[in-house]
Amino acid sequence: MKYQLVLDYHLGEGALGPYLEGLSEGTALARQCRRCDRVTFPPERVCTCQTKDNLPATYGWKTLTGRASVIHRTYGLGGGFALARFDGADNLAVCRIDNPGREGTAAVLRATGEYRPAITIEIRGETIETID
Amino acid sequence: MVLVAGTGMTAFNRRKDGSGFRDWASEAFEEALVAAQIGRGDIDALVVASESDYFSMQLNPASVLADDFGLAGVACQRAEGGGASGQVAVHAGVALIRSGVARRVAVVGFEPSASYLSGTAVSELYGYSFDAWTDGMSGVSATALYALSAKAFMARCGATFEDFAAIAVLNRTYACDNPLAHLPLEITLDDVAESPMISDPYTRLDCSPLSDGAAALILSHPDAAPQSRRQCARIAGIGAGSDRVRLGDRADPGYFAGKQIAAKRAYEMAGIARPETEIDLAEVYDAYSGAQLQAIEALGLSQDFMDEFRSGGFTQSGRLPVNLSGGLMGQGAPVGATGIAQAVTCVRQIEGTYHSGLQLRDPPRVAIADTHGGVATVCAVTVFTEAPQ
Repeated sequence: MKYQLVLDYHLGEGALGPYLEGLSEGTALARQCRRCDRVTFPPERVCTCQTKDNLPATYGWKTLTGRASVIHRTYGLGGGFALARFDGADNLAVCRIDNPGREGTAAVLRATGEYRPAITIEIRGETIETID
Repeated sequence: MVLVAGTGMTAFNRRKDGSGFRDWASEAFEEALVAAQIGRGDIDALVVASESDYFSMQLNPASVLADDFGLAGVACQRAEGGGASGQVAVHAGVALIRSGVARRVAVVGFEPSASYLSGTAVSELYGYSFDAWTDGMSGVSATALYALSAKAFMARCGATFEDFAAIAVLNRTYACDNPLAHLPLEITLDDVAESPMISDPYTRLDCSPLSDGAAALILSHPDAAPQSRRQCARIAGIGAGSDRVRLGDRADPGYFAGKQIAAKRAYEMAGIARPETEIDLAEVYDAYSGAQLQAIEALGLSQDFMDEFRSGGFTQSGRLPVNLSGGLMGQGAPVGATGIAQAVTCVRQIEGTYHSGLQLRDPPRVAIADTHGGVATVCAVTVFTEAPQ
């Protein structure tokens, strides 16, 4: 039998709200643990220092430069994707590569708009002089 | 100790005969019931494994299958852990028996991953198997995430495209002797290299297929199995573990740390102190060719896994045969059924009743089944052993 299901989601962003809003505008908003200073982009809800003990931690948001270094990348049917480290972040981020044909490891964050905000980078070559 | 009193599974493939998942699940269940030599009235509980309601268009599938199986009145539940769903269900069944809640449990896994939806739709849905709120929003596919993990693995271990392709060839070769397999292919390393690039390093032939199918086990407390089945294979250990859901949050995106945790727990329960010498057979989760090597590493199956792999140590004639069923790449991957099918292979190999071309001459005494969901995020390992002599 034939059947079609169409779904239109309105997802509550919760604690990820500032991060997702930043992505839509092209701003790398990272989460910072005020206890150990670990900076994560994309943000961790609970810092790794919390997994070692149960002492309380508080968090704030920190704006990164938006520059990133590509560590690993893959290209294929779905486009290009990378594991990259944003300057100032202690973790890596899975990123969509906006210009997959470009060589190099230096990249910058690009704005994605409000629909499906996600970490998207543009590769600029081996080094970045300025960010527009 | 829990006995595996009966096993059943359908062919894994893309159904073109108009049948549905309820047919496949019933077929597998009935086969397992007959093998266990018990009646449906002897079943206390049903655990159903299925990854996604999106695939089946059936929420609460355990209730439907309990009715279809003629098990109305039994305790029934669904177990889900992405690609690990089948073995998560096995573990749930073992827990029911070990805790005394049930004496005989049917564990049935199914998935209509191939024929119900387009491959494009299924691939998009799989993209939400990871952190849908961050990584998933980028449109990254399962293949691309596995590829990134494989790149990290290759950089650390020196594995090559050719190593991965050799696994893709070997598992399809085994599938040629498995009449239930989805992809029995006689292919070469060049065929793998020349097939379309999905997400480098993975070409189409490095990927497991989307399959339809079902598999089932009847688990039993040792005192509750029919006398004729008390020398059957048993589950000596179960272990589960998890890793950070996002690759970028892991210390090494190429190492399956959650799998290592799961294996350690399963080995401890089974009394295995040296997995690199005490295990005779392994069915591991080869969603992609490179993932098989990553699994062998994390499961601790060799002291020098790259060297032993390249010298043939994990082939049918080697020290520790891996994925003789063809694995996910050869036998196929109807997700909820996958982990249970691995168990079927282990049990039948131990009992000496596996497909003739693949049955080990000396049946294994100890076999393990390994699955995971996500990129080795939710991990489950099960140890099977022969009956005590």
